Amino acid sequence: MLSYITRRLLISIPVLLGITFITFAVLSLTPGDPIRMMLATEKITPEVADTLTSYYGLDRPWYVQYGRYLGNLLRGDLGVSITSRTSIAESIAQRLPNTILLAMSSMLLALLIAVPVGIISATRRNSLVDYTALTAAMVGVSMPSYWLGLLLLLQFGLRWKLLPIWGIGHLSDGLWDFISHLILPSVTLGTGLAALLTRLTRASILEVLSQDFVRTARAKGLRERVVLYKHALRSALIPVITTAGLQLGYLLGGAVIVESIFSWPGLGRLTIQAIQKRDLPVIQTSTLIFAVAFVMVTLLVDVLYVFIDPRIRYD
Amino acid sequence: MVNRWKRQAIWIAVVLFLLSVALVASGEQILVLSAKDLESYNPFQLLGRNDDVHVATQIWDTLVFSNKDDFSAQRELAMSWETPDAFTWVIHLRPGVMYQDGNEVFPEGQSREVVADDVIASVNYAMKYASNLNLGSIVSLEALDKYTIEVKTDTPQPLLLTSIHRLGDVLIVPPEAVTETDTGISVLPVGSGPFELQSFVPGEEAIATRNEDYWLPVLLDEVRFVVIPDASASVIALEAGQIDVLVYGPADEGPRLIDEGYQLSRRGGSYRGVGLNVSKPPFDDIRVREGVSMVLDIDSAWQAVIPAGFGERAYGQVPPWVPMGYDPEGLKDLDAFDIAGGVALLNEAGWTDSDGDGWLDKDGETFAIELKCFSGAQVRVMTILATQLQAVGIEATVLQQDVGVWVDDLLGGNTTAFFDFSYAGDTGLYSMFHSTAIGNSNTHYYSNSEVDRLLDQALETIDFAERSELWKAAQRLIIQDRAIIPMYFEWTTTYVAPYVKNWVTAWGGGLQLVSVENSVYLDK
Repeated sequence: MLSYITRRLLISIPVLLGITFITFAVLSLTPGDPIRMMLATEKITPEVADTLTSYYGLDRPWYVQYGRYLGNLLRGDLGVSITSRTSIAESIAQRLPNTILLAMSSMLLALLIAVPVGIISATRRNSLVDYTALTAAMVGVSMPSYWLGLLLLLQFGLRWKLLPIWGIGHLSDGLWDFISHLILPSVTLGTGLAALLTRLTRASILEVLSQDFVRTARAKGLRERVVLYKHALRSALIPVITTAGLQLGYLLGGAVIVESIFSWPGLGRLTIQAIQKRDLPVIQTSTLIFAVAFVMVTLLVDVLYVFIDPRIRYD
Repeated sequence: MVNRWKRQAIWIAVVLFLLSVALVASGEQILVLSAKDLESYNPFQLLGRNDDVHVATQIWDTLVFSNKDDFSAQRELAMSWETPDAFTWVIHLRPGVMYQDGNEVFPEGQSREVVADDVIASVNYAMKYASNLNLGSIVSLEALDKYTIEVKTDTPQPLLLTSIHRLGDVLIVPPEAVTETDTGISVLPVGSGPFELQSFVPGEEAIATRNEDYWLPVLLDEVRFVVIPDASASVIALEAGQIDVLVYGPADEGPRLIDEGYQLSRRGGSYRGVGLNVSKPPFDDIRVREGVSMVLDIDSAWQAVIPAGFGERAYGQVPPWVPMGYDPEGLKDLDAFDIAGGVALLNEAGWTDSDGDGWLDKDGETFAIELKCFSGAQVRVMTILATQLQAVGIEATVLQQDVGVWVDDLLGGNTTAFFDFSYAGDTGLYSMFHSTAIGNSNTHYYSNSEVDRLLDQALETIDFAERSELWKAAQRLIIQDRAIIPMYFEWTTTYVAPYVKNWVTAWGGGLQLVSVENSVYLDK
């Protein structure tokens, strides 16, 4: 297992290098740069624009800029934001944990809903419960997170005044402060995923329940609960975990809208703001962080298979 | 038994009453304001980021701020100033203004006064690091005494102190709080302003508490800036009572919020028009520019989008909040909505529907233009204008772009007609229309030697009235040349809860929470 993990980590190095190159190439081809934007909005004079362009090396050929970026990256120097002049490492360190927290809580919420509902729906196929669950899942998948977020804000924040509308809670201000700030963003972000995983869990269980080893287990006279939870569920969860793992990667990068609606100080919002301002160093770094997160989550999912399904071996 | 319950109920009622009285009596004055984002409070690296400027100006004072009524310079750290000659400014500081104490720079009771050397150091830091400030004309700074500074410039600079991005925008810091490094400058949050910074979490919130020793009465105990980037969510937060002030709120929500009792505070804003690239066909022909401006019904377009009271028709580029050059009466005669006359001019310029397909053409080419703009209410205005142009045979389409792409196209001259936008300060005419700014902020590629001469002369003219006349003359020439088709000025709107008293929205600088003109407090 260890050699497998080491191999995967080594393979991820060229992957990440490729991502840095693609990001850099795409940004180089994209119109607009931060200095010109400041110039056009009368925030700086042409002379200052020239100085800043030279200072940040934006007047150098792209391969020189890329080489300098890689060199700094290898030294652990993520640089400073062009627009705010603040340390990118500090910005990332402040915001990444918030995004991870939001993604993990949304995932947890989605799994807590999807797995039990999917199981009930599958075991009571074509019943009222099943139809209700499927309809709810369809609604959940179809609802845009922006719309759902505002709806929740209006209902729970404005009308009932039960939950805070903006920001992140801190444990230092009490457990309720921490949790109350987390509820609405997590529900907004997790609803679509919960719906998706519910349908997947149901379909997967139905498929496994029709397989030979389940029929054998039943023929041996095992109780239905044992057949379901001890034999069928483990196999049925493999596609669910694969999808959930991949979705976690998307959650990390795709929480942008939810972070904006709920004023969640995360990495997604930082990235979007950087893209709007063409803050190249911030975009490069945050893209790299997302890529690393995605690679690590995928590896983690692959490792998890071993624990869920004993038939899988990497050595 | 019943009596026991009654007694208990009375006791509970009494306790609740006392608690509520105590809460009201304590009257904690905490003002919560919205921000789109918070990145850094560093006074020399604010780069015009409004929310960061709002925080920084609570910590540090400036020399002057803009008067709430007529936008002229109002005294803050500078008590008075004079210009003995065209190249010299002498500024007299207010004595007795102390820096905040009880911090890393000045321990409790060991603070000191703001003096002339601090101003000189701060201006030097700003010249070196604050790239958005325009201080390049300063050639020397000298402390004549403890409270007097002499500033020399290489050319006459009548706007040096009062214009935004100039000397009046420099935040005055104690040099003891500053560390210069190879990569820049860092400044500890210690100033002479009305509030002391307690925490600043980028992207999240900033909290500042009252400076007990401020030279003016500070009525608020605490100010909190909370980041709410989404416009809809910020309106909900205001209505839910979770914030007291929504800074830069959406105009669309204005009429409803005003009906609900919120105060609307508007001050300053931006100019919005249709910009024409006069260096390229078809707008390199004055007849085409004139014709197009005549067929557009600007009034119906902008009034259909901007709620009444949230904007004003623009006849020129200089807005009402700039104390020179605003001239609607002098420019109105140049606004001639006349479809037949406009089409006749286009025909005279060779643009006719020769093939009967409904579109004007010339030399086999259809009259087609893309109105380039970025997202916002202006997209709807531009769409209405495009429809009006289509009605007279111009194949006009609206191309909504990312701001970065829009800027790139404008600066690169990759335009015919575009959404024209400016913060419209008192150097707006110069930066948008002077020929030396072509390819930079002059995205119209407009050049007129007489306009250049008038603008140059205005920049160096000390007499205010004379300067204003020069500005108006230049503006009239620009409109006559049809480099732009002015549409409207859109106010910057701030929505304030009814219980927030003495609110003044600042123009071009920070929030004016405490000044010689006002001190904000809550009357809940």
